[in-house]
Amino acid sequence: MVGLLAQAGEAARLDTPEVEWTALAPVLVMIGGAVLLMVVAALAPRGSRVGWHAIVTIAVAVAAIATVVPQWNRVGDDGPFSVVAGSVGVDRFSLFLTVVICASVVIATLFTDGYLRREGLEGAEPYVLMLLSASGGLIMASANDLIVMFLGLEILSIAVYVLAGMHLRRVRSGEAAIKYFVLGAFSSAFFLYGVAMVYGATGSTNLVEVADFLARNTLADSGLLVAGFALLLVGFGFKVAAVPFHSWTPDVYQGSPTPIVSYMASGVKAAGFAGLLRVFVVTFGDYRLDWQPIVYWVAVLSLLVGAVLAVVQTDVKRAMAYSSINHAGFILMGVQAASDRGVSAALFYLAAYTFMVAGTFGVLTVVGRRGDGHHQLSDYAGLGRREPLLALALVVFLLAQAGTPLTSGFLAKFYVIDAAIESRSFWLALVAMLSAVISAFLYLRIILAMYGSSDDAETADGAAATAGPRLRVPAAAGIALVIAVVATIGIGLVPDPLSETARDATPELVASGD
Amino acid sequence: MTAASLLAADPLLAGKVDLAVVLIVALKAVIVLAFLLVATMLMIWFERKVHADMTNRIGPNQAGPFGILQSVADGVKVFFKEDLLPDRADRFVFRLAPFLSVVPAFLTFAVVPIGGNFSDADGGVIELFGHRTLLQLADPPIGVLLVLAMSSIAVYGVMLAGWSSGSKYPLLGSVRASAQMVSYEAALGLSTVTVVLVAGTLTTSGIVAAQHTWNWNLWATGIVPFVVFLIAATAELNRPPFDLVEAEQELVGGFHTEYSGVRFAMYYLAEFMNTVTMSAIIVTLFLGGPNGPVLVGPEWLWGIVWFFAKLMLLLFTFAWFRATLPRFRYDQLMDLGWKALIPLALGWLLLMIAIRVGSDEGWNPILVMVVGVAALAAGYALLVLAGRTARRNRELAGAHL
Amino acid sequence: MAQYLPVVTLLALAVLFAALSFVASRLLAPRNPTAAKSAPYECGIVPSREPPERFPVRFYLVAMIFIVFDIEIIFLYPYAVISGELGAFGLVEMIVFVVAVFASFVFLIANGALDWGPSRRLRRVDPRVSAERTTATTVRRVGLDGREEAA
Repeated sequence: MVGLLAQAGEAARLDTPEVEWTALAPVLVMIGGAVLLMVVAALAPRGSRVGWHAIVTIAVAVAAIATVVPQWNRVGDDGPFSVVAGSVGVDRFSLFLTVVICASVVIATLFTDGYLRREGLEGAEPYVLMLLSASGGLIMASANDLIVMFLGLEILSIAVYVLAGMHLRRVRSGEAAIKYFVLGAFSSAFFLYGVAMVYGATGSTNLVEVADFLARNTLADSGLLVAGFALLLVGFGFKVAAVPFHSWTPDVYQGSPTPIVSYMASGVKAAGFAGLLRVFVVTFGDYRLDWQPIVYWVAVLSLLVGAVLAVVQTDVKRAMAYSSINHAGFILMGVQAASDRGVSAALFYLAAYTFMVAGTFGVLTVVGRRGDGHHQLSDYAGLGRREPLLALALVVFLLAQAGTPLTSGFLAKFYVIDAAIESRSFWLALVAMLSAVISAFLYLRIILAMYGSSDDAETADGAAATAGPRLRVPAAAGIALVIAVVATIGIGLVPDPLSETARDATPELVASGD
Repeated sequence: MTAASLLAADPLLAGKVDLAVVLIVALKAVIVLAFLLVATMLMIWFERKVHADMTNRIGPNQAGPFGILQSVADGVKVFFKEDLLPDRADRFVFRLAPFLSVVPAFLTFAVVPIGGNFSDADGGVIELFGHRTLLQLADPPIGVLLVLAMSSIAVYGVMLAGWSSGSKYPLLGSVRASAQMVSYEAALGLSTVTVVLVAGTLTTSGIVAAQHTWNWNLWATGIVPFVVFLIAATAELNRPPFDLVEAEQELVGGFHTEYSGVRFAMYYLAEFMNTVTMSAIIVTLFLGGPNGPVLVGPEWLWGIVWFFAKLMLLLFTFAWFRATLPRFRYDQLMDLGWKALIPLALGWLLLMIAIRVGSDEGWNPILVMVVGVAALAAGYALLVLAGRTARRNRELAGAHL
Repeated sequence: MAQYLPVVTLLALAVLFAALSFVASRLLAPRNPTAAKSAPYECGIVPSREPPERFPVRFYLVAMIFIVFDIEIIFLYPYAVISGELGAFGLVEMIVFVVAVFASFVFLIANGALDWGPSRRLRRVDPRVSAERTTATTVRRVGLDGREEAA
């Protein structure tokens, strides 16, 4: 001890890693923007009519997207690189997901503004938390080290727990927050335990070193490593809402404020899959025979449970929660393929899904009315006549989720099934198509309710008349819906730019430069 | 720096621990225990005398010369007093709480160097029965952290005493006390970091060694941490003007209202012992510990003399505080702790770090100062703005009522 | 760990001292509890209410905010010891860390999390209470109407 201290005293400098700030720009912009917004909003007078909180949030997210562009080019020129002593990697995969997560923040923010006004909530906290949570997602997407990934996971999750309980006056919102928090804390613990096991098996938490170790050595007894896989999968599976780690999803989606759900279903899911793809497909690629069967069955269960339970729901928000479980199953097919094609299919799916699910929950936000409580199927009766444009938007999103041709959903589903078939998982592909048919029934049910037959409509109109005035679509929400509709149909009609980008965006592991 | 790091252990225990070493340790422990008890008794008498003088009274003058044995008389009396256990009390915790208060008070003193010559390479090591050792009971590598840990544990003694009494006033007193002690612990810790930064070590002997040749932390850290520490320590000790815990007018006796007999005496003892210990810690951290000029006679004696002279000075200061300063209101207390001391200590620490790193890296010192002071001013402006916003929001909320 | 031996010794001695005091007191002190003596002390009044179970939320807030600062301090100690070796890198990291904590501190203060004073209320101005209204303006002199100008 004495000698050690004396040596430390003589060694003039410790080895400190070089921090390349530009490479961290997206995360720094998000965190800096969030902190700045928090302080300024706390100091500014309350109750201003202009939604400047939302404007700043969108500006920050767009700035983060803007910082991606030069890096994208740089990665194209020089190849992927890693920074901060190899704990953060910058490749096109991480940059692609950065854009996806930031886009989901932009859309969710546009819905949140109108929602807060309608519900009489004030303060910039939801925006601050959303930005912080998204920065956690960005860290997850570019983490090159399991500990950094855990850090990102926690930053992502803790902010979302609070967001779920954002609506102070709704009991269900608080209930959702508590449920999400308790189960989420468990899943984080599982994840951390998995990290410990992987460390025990390979002697490092750095993904590059883990992959190196696994490539150079053959483990005589891979039990510890496989246990690590399983525990890591629990952690990721919870975040992406895959069966059997899905039980929180319906309650939390139903209880949380609807615009927040739009972020949860798009941004949080994208971050979860980012970690899943990087850790499993890339780092543990050599051991795919060990983890593929687990992911296979998780995917099958997610597809079937999500589709079947979605159909029997009468609460639309709850039904969409199950549908998001179903979609998680589809994306898991891309993970299960463990190939470049699988990864790019999953990325394409995530990007397309972000727009359609965010849009869906955006419409739900508007239809929910003051109090965020009108989510029964009967509340949608006659919507096609009363609010033709809103109903049309919802039809587009639902058809896209069902996988109808000419929408982004069709191609997304096509690519993942294609990837599954390429990796010879024929039964999985069959189950996926079957579940698509089952869940299509749900989407058609909602559409039928909106454009229902005349006698239904009359009673519904009567109900609507007593329920109150026309639905008001806030301008910001309108813009977000237009963006989402255009993106959904646009990707469906002209998929090549996105699919080519997704093909470029394969994850790679790069050791630190020094 | 290097010398300080080298001293990160008591040479007595660095080697093989045999019976002689254990005996020396036991002897030192007994001496510390006895010293603390005697010092506490004298401190009680001293404070009463000083307080009496300042308020134009005589004070204790019956027991012994100048009433110096008054505390002994009180102590003996207390053993013959009935020790009540209230009906509603949680019996186990009620009995446990005095231990939690009095034991940390003893333990803190273990890391205080009370003598030794730190001016040479030996760094305060003396010969004792043929063994080289420091004139302090223990010198663990975490030194200062032990002090903070003990002051954290003392919070439990206060909190559990109030809670376990099953009575209104103790409960209120203990909740107040825990909030107060916890708040000021943050300020205490932050001002200590500056000392650690300057000394480059956590051990108390290292901190004292870094202060020899008049390089006392009092000015080496720029006075501010000392002031913050002194105020925070006064609050941490629940002494006037921060003795809201025992605000008689509001809370009867505070957290120890239900305690009587020897259990009450334990709290009383702990309180004054903490005062002695905390003064000793301040001497160690800021006033150079036993460092001081050697005049005539044996070298080792002067360290002890200087240590006690400084200790007396601080004890007098605490008594002086009590006699002159009126008690704070609770919101003033919390505001002072959170909105003044903590930001001040934190800002000062950052400034010190910047100056030190700047001189190591060869940055322009004037530029570092200007930027640092500007940053502190910006932080202060933000705090003032925040306080104003809070007040305005409160008034708006009040207008709605 | 040998460096902690003296601390443990002192701990044992301190516990022994306290325990012996209690034993001595038990042997020496009288014991005759009565109902009045062992009732909770309330300045002579017979207690009629249980001690409160719920406390103002401010105390909990202080506890939570303290944890944030305690963690900050704990993070600062190791840094303070080796700040010289970390150099400019450490300074930048510390500033980033402290700025993050400080920003949330400003947020807390601005939201009144550390306000202890009573909520200052703007008194709604009662039209019957104002500086303009004096006895001269409000009390009508009976019988003097119209005569003051004349006088």
